Amino acid sequence: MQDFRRELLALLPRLRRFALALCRTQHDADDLVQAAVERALRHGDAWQQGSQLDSWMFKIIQNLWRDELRAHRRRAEPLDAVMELAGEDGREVMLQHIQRAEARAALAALPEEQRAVVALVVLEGKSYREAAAILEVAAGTIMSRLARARAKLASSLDQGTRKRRAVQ
Amino acid sequence: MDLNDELLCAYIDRELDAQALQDVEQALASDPGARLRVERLRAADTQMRKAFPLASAGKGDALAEFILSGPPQAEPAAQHKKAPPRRRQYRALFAAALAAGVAGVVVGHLLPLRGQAPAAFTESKSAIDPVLAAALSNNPSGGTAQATRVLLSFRASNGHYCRVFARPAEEGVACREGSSWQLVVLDRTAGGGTGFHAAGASELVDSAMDRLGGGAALEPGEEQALIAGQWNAPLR
Repeated sequence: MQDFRRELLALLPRLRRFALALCRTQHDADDLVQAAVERALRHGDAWQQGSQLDSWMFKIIQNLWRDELRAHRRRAEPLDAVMELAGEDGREVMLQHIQRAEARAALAALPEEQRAVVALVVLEGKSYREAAAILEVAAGTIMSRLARARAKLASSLDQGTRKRRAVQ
Repeated sequence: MDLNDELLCAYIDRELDAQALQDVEQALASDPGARLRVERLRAADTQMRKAFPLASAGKGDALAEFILSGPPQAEPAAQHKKAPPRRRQYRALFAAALAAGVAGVVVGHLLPLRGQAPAAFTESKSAIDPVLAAALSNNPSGGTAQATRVLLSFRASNGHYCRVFARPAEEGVACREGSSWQLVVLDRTAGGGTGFHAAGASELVDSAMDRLGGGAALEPGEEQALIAGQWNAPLR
């Protein structure tokens, strides 16, 4: 069990990132990860040592989030403010904050199933096959969702860049 | 060759077999438009990764501590350490209070607090009015008396019992110290607001609960025993 806990602890930053990409707000992401960890600790015996703990945890998080969406029929919630620029100097720092906010907003604007694919493939570097297993869909579905998601993300980010250039 | 987005994504993600990879590279060599699309998609990936950096678990990370010291699956339930009383539970109870119509007035007042100057809350230990004290002593969680609804009770990490409550236009946390209740935080705003935000109620209460630490909400039986004993249970 201690090995399991240590592996789980090492995964925590990745679980938090995945949850944030899914839920869009830090509060919800924190709650989601906590719920997933509690479930994992309760059912740790279902995990086989040597198998992919990260994939198992991503699946738990994804399932919990789906349940949450079904239970509360959530609508899109505003993204947590990420542009806290007060007290920081420099155009470069400001630009980085703006770009980060734009990227998060672009991801938040995608449908839930596309966010999950982007989080797994782009952020986590999972193969299409692994992502398909976690999300319990066909690999072809991963491909089509990813293509649509990436096209929208690129378009949103281009738009942001153009707007910034226009005001310079 | 049709260099559509699905194929370009598979190329970017190294999902193509050797033959397909060779075909795509050849097609890209004579298609500057497609090369540009690949660059755009890769740039979007890079920006996405920068926007979601990995943050390591720092010292005092309650969840990290819980993972290391929480209950192994095989332990009997009585020995389980409980997860910290977190926002989910608190929010769910707050939402239930709203559904019951009891704390409805609170809604418009709490939500505008996010991002505002903290002019309308108290965050220092202080004595509380007798009406609230009576409600805290006698109401079970979920129960309402004298316009006060207790949302949940928990045992803080210092051993004191604490209760989260909601009243029209205010919400807070109070802890039992000796024979009296001390107010830990009171979130009270005078401004108007609109609608219920499913994400929760008071961040001040959230934050106070985090600082107080301790276990999950007390079970009804445990709480009932404390009410019967006027919250004078010895510290364990």
